[in-house]
Amino acid sequence: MSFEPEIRIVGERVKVLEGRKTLFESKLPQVMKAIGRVTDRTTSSDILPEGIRLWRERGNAIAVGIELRPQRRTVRWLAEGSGASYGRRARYEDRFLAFPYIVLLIVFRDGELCGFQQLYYRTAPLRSGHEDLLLPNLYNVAQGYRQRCWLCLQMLEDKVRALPWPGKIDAVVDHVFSAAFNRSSEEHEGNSWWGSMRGLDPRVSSVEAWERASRENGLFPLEIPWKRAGTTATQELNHMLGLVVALPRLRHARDLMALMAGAGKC
Amino acid sequence: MQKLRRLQQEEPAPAGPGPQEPRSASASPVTPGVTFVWGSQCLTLEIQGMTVGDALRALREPYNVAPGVNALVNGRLADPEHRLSEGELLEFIRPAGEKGASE
Repeated sequence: MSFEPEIRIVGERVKVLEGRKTLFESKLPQVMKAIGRVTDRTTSSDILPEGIRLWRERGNAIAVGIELRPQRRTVRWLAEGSGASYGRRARYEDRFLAFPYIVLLIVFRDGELCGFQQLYYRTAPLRSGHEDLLLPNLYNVAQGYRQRCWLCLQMLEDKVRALPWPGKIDAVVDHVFSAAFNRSSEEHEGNSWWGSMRGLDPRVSSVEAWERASRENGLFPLEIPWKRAGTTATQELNHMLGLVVALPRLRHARDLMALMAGAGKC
Repeated sequence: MQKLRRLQQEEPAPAGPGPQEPRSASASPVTPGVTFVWGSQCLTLEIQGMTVGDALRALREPYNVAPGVNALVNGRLADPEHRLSEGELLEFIRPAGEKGASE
């Protein structure tokens, strides 16, 4: 007769029994992790959109990490002497600016933006997600809403739910570069990283200097001693995801029982 | 890129030295090509030798370039007849909104 193990969950422990004899025990969270490692995980998008480096799904939320390579772009920047900080009366100028690697960390809930979105810099591509992120020097990126580098995407609210995943990512990235940069965060969040980082290096001390340096050397942002953010892409995605969907606790038989009850009984 | 090549073949060839066939620079990393920026896209294509107008016609469909865009080369408005050189940056931009809260 073949061996038929019996698995029993008692509180936080999982016991493997043969008859009355306990063969070994493990902790429930360890068992759950082991099960997770051998279970197929599906993503909501068969083809990952371009630029996606990190992708996490939890409940009805999906957190993504997008990496944009160093590039020069023509962006619209609030003009010196603009009559307004933002809005219809604001005046903008085209600026040809070079950027280092940009890391966008965005959480979507039910396919829509939900206010948890950050922008950081890097001077090298991500390899694992555990490397230091750097603080940016942009208008409309600010400390606020329990995020170190919150990115203003207010004009995209309620506009990406119906888009397929590549369309959502395109819309966000396009908005970062195409929508004009202004002092809205100074007015609403009381700060922006443009204001905080102007003293960092003469080449980014003003938008004129930044454009001049960009025309001379498109890769100069990789040489700037950007300040460390003291966090990583993985840490921030976990933090943001945790603010949107709490990770279900799986430490006790009761937790597993509740999960199983929620999933339906057979 | 196959679609891009096909599109290019369907375009009537202009008089004089014709545009080269656009190819992804990843096929030949030694050649820098032309950096192409549109919306979320930023990639290097071997479109040097093409005019700005030719490039727009060839890239419009594969990259869903919107009608009425302005073409810039190295951050400055470009003539459609400008012939692209290696290392140049071709951008298509369109008037877009602004960041921040609405008034």
